[in-house]
Parts: sequence; C-alpha cells; structure tokens
Amino acid sequence: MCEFCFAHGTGKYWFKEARFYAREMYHRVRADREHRRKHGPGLEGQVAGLALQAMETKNLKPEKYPEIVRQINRLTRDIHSGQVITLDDALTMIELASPIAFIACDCRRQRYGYIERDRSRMTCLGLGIGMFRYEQLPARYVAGAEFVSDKEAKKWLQNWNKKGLVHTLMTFGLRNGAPYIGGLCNCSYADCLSISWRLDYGIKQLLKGERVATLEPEKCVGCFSCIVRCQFGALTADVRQEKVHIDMTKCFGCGLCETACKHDAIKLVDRRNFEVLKYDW
Amino acid sequence: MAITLSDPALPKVKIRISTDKCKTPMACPTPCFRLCPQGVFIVAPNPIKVAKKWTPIDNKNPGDYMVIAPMIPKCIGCMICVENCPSGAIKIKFKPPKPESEGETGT
Repeated sequence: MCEFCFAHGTGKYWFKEARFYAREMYHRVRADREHRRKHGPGLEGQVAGLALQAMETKNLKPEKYPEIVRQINRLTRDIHSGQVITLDDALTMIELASPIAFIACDCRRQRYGYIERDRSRMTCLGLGIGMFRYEQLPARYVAGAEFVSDKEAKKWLQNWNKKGLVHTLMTFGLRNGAPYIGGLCNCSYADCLSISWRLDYGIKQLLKGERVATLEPEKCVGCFSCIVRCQFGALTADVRQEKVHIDMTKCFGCGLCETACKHDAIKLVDRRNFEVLKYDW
Repeated sequence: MAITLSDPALPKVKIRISTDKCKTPMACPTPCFRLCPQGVFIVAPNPIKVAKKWTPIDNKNPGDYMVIAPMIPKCIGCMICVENCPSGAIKIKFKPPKPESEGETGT
C-alpha cells in the first residue's frame, strides 16, 4: 500500500474518494500554506533546494546521496507529490472533481521557458475548488485557466492517451495526513520534472501506480506496438519467443501499453497481489 | 535503476533450491527458469562435476545441471515458480521491511 492508502485506507484506491477533492480540504490546506508563508521560508523552497543539492551530490559526494534523497522523499510527500494513474482512473477522477480547468504546464515553463497560450497545446488539468482562485497566483497560472465540461475533458484525456502521455495525479499540501488532489497532468519523460527526477535521481515525488502490467504470452502476437509507448523502459523485445517482455520492477502502471495492445495480451493487475511489489512505490 | 534495487523499503527475498529434489532441470516439463517473468533463475552445469574432470553433459543424467537464483533483486513474489515446480524443490521466504513511517517521519 502506498503511504496515502495506508494513512486513510478504506479498502479502495485512495484517489477514488470524493473527500480528497472537497472544499473543506482545500481550505485546511490553504490555511496551512499561509501559516508557513508567515513563519520563515516555505517548504516548497526547501524541496527545490534539496533537489538541486541531490543532483550535485550525485556527482561530487555519492556517499551522502541516499541520505539527501531520503530527506526529499519525506518532504515531497507532505508538500507536493504525485502518483501515476491509468486512463480509467483519470476518467473517474474527472467525474469526482469539479470544476475542471485547462492550465499551462509548470514543468515546461521551468525547463524550457515555454508557456502554452493556446488551449490545444495544454496538457495539464487543474481540479477542484482551488481553481476558482487562480488569479491569486499569477506567477503559477500565467496563461490563466479555461474551465471545461466533464465531457470535453474526457475527450481530451482519450486524445492524450492516444498520443502516449502518462496520466499523473498531483497533490498539493497535506493536513492531518490527508492530501488535497488538485491536478491531473498528462506528460512525458522529456517534459515532466517529476518523471525525470524519479528515473534519473530516485527522488520519489512521483509514486508508482496501483497496478502493474502483466503479459498473457498466448495472446501476444509480437507486433511490439506497446514498446514505443513505455516511458519508463519497462518493455523490451523478447527475441526467443518473438513476444514482448515486461520488467515489472520498472513498471509504473500507467496502462499505456494496455491501451495500445489490440489483442488484449497485456493486463493490469493490482500491485498488492505480489509479495515484493506491494512495498515498491 | 540501481537506486530502486538497493531500496531498503523493499522486503528481503531468500530463494532456496534443493539439489536433492531437483535433479534433472533440463528435462523438466515446467521449468522455472523459463516460466519466471523476471528471469531470476539460471541453469548451470554442476560446478563440482565439471571441476573434477571433463565429462560429456547429458540433459537427463541426474545431477549434471543445477538451477541457481542469482538475480534475486529482480524477484517480485509472483510465486509462479513455486506453483509450477513438479518436485517442490523451490522455497521462497520474504522478510517484510520495517514500517517506513516510524523510522523516517519521527524526526
């Protein structure tokens, strides 16, 4: 079980409960954030500083590296973390949360200085009651926010899935151990900071998904259309059988290979069925 | 990838394969080294026999080959090998890690 499921587990996946998108939760988180702003430096600054420190120590002092990564993992869980989800989960999330708004990607702004003004280029969705106050944070929402209906958002999600973008939910702030879900990002390794931090530096801002991809070898034809879509390097070609090979320790459970497969050979199974993987987040 | 493998948050896995029960792995109908989705196992010629003097290795001769499990960090605990082993030679033990929340968030 991931940390969030463990803290408030009711038997289902934690993000499928409406209370994490609720108005009450947002106000609690916001009050907490204001408290932090008044008293000393914000925790967001600490995370960014530690992440930069980690990248330096990886090259210069590798022996200190695991300790710094552990500190960051502890902090990001409280402040701003995310989890990989499948397309079906993303569609149910949109039903739970309201309103839904298109926003410009923050990672692309930080990495490439690129701000999407056009809605057809945006790939990030802001969820929940916090989106009504986007004008209060002009630095974050540079291109503003465009509110859309559930139907339209679902259509866009399926469009992004066809393109091969990973769906991730993002949490903002933590109060009494409960996170507020405020974002639904659709991104790739080249753009997303949290995916590349996780893969290159082991910073667990992005947690693995609740499921893992498994292969049914009898159904696999060997077309390898799924390999191209994996962002995490979990899929490779098995030459002996002329089938795909899934490395489950690398799999994040995004479900992109499942939606690409035309023969239903890949199926997503709950991570908790496996003795080792249920501790691997 | 090295970061995930040496993660202390993961449980420790011990795999034991008894050579007394598993004698002819190359003639096995459901071999673990082929069924394992992660490729944990390896079939190797028995080093004790090979080291003494060169002998022609036979697939069906008991004791010529043995199964070892060197890639233990790759094990995910699907238990396919244990279910399919005809002689019941494989035993796997999992030692769950200490709860992370106590040690780490305490400070």
